Amino acid sequence: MTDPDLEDRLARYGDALQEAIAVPRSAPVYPATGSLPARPRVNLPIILAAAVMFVVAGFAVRALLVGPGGETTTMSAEPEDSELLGGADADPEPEDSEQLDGAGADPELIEIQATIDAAVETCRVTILDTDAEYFAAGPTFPTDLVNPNTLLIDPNLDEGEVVTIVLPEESDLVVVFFQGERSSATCTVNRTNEMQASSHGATAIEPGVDAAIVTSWSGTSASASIGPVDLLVQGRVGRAVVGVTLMEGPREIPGVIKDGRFVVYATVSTAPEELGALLLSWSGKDGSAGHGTLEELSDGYVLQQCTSDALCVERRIAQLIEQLTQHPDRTGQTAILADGIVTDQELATARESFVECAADTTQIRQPDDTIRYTEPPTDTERQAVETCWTHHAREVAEARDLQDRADRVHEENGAN
Amino acid sequence: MTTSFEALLGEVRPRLERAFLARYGTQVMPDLTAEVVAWAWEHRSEVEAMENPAGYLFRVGQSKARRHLRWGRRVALPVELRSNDSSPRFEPGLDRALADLSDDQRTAVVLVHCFGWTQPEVAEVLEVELHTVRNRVHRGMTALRASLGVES
Repeated sequence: MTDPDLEDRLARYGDALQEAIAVPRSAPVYPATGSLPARPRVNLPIILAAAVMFVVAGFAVRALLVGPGGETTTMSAEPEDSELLGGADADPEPEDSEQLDGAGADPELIEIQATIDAAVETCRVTILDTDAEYFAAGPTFPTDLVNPNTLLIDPNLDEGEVVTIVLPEESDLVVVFFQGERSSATCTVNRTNEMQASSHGATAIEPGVDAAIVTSWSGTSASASIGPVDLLVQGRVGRAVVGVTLMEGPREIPGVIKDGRFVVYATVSTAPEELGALLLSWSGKDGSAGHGTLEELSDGYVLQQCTSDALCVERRIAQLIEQLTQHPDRTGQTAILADGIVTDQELATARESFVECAADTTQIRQPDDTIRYTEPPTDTERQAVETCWTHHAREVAEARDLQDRADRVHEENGAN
Repeated sequence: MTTSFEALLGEVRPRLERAFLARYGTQVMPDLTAEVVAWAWEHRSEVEAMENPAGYLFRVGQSKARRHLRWGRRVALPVELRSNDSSPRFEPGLDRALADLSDDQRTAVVLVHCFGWTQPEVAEVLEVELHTVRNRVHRGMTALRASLGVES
């Protein structure tokens, strides 16, 4: 083959690529939130690592200058723990005095504050992506999920002290891991917010916060919340629990432990009827494990009791698809984004594919809208269900969100 | 504003689809395009005021693509169908060779030689200098020739 042949071949191959573009899809739409960000940055992890090191260095110097009785947070790095810091090789004693101001030194940075009402011994700050698959964070971080931008610091926090964490604007989460003598806590803070957490008591979840907050800890009790606060979910398990994961779509948040009693407060951004399946899994001290879903009751959602070898997945997503399918004519509204909004046909296809996906991957059939296992699911099966749920629930839920915004635009246009 | 935004989107979206396809492959392109379009709609007033909205939205796509690429997903391209044969047969060499190129080189080569874009058009969407596109195309084609055993 000669060079002209290659160019001809590339041109012909372009036809195949054109066909790939022309394939109709019910592409999920991911509505963005927030204001227009700064120019997207490709090397965000590097920037985050630098930001964390910058802050820790600032805290360290401030601790030296202000002392433990000062009003500001005193966090200092522990050089002997530097091997636990992942990619962190921050200098705990920066020579540049300008870094003493920490968060205020760089206009690109914002402050996030967490108020600790009990003393903790160590504090590990982990920068995580906001992506759901990286959201998993808890007393035991999965090693493959931990971002290398992890710092282990000794804040020497006293009651009422404020942890100031600096995040690059429009970027990721900060997860603060507190380790006490007999307990630990994990606090996840998104954007500017103030959070209260205790290492040995129930957390106070402030309703009305406008950013995601997740707090959890082990030892005595813990709870988890993710905002905005639209819904309170509470579940109980009558067995000793050593680890609980709440899954809302693809998102995992750490769970709860309290004398065999499980309590989780999960706030989600969707209305209750649009919630979809909330999948819980837990493991007991006796080696048992269980899964369950949160069941809607009049006063909220309560964990549906499942035996240790049963997995119940409520198919609320199917109901949601039904609701969307039966939605009044949206012809005029879909014009806003042309093919960006799913059509009824696409919704029907999504529903069919979800059912087929779940059935094929779990080897079961559903007489109703409930998938039930009579035997413990394998990891593959569980992953398959989660994958099906993730793709289709997100697709429909986000299309619904976009639809709602389209409705608002039409209302505004009508008003005008 | 909606009408003008639709017009803008009608002009920009096809270019983004091809650029995303060239850079991230067929599996990532649809979702990524939808995300970027949704983002553009969310920020439509700002996007409409931009001098080079396609270039900016391509950058937005680059940021959003991280979540798709985090698990080491390989770039997927359609299998090449041999056209000089009466029976449909697949000739997998070209798509694999393209996938093995660097992202920058593949994007430039596909846009120029497969989609027929001019190099200035590529430079505008990618927001890089013209000579950068020229270098990427040259190096990408050199790598393709070596990979496919093409006589220059």
